[in-house]
Amino acid sequence: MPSIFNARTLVHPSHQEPGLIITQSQASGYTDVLAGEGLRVQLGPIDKVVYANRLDVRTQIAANQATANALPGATLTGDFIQTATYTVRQRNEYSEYDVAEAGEYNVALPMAYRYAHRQGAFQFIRNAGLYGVSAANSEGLINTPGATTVNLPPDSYGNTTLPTYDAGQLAIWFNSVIQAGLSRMYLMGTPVRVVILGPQRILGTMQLQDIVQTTSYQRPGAGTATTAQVITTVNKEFGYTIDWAFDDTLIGQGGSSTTDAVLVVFPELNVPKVPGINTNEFAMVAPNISGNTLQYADVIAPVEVTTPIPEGLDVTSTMRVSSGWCIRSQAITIAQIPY
Amino acid sequence: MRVYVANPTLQHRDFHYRIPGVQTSRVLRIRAGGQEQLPESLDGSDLQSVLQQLQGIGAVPKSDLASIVAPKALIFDVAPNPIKAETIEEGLGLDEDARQEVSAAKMEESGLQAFARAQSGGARAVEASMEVVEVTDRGAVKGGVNYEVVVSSKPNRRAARKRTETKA
Repeated sequence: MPSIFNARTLVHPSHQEPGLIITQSQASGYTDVLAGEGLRVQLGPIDKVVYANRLDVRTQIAANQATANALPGATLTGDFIQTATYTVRQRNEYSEYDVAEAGEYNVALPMAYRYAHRQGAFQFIRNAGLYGVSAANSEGLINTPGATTVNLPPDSYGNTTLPTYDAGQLAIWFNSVIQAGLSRMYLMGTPVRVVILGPQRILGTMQLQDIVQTTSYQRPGAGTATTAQVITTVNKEFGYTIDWAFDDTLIGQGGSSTTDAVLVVFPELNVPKVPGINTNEFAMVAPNISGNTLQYADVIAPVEVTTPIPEGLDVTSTMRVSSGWCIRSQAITIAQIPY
Repeated sequence: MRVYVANPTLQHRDFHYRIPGVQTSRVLRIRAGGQEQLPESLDGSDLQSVLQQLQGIGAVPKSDLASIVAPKALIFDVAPNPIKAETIEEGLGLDEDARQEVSAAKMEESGLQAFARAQSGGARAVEASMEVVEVTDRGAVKGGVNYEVVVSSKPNRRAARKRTETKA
């Protein structure tokens, strides 16, 4: 775990640009698919497992023209589900010479290590959130048991890949996926946030390239709007807010190397209710977890522990997280999009 | 001819497909671990088109389960009888393996991404490590894992990784 700042030969006179050219990584939008758009910071530092209680109800009722005396009642069933947590740790050791040599490159070594640790931890957390640490245990949002996987069928012209797909038909197909998800959650008619998380090459094409073609008949956005604009505006008119988020690790995760995965997620549950006779009245029992997609942590960023060691310093970063956990599997649809 | 499509995964499947020349696409709902028969009797180019659509999303024929190397693969068969339950069970096992393989690769990439600078710079003899420890072995939760990733930043050198399962 070294820092590498080699000695070098420079021409004199010369000008040294003070800024650095720093490697850029994708700032993933995956946290948008989590309830509250972030980690659920509730863990203790040594909590090994997260448990969540479930409450199910089955109601029976007697309805007689005469009055019945032997009456049925409601049955309440408690249950629980669980997910494991993991410590994420990193360590670097450095001496005064390392700090000095990094300084020759205009790099503040302790700060560089801090951000490197955070980036490593955050990328791990993203991967654990989407793909799980132990996928065999169905960890990770993309592995949610009971979620629904859908695939993009050929359009009516026979096009099978996203770049060639009819833009208008693509918008309508995506809206059908959203509608199916809303229906599974009984959320039709209820304002809710919908997150579409996918690779840049998929969502970018839908946002910037796919102008809905004009046809002999009128269709939304023809000649003026892209697929993504049609999806956003049509849903907005009915109270559904579309958030677009990007993560390129989903490239090739749609079941074959040329098929990308796009997640359509309802991160929060806006409990459906109507005034008066509410056939979903039992959902008023509190506390009802409003999040559907959760990822737990003990802190929002790794805790740094710096310790003197012989001839230098040791810096360790540590935090505890769970994998991504969807507690209501209807909230996730995984779309397989050929590219 | 009858086409059966099985879903050897833990996720429900809405298989969207289109028969050539038909304006609207169709959806076949296949529940997790179950199978369905396409409602149409397909022949000739229609059959080939639907099979191509299946294979395009990673579906494999019943006779070639070994080709399930990615998660979410379906199994299909053109036959008068449904796919046997044992075949679907075998597919479930392969799907689990494939999921775990993706997860392991992503864990490995976490380390690689964290030290992308060292790789892209063509650095020499650099090794970085990311330690991911699940400590349930102290508390003995069955099915927990210990995971350790060691990433080499030498060009074209893949990382070593070690995954052990804890037993109750």
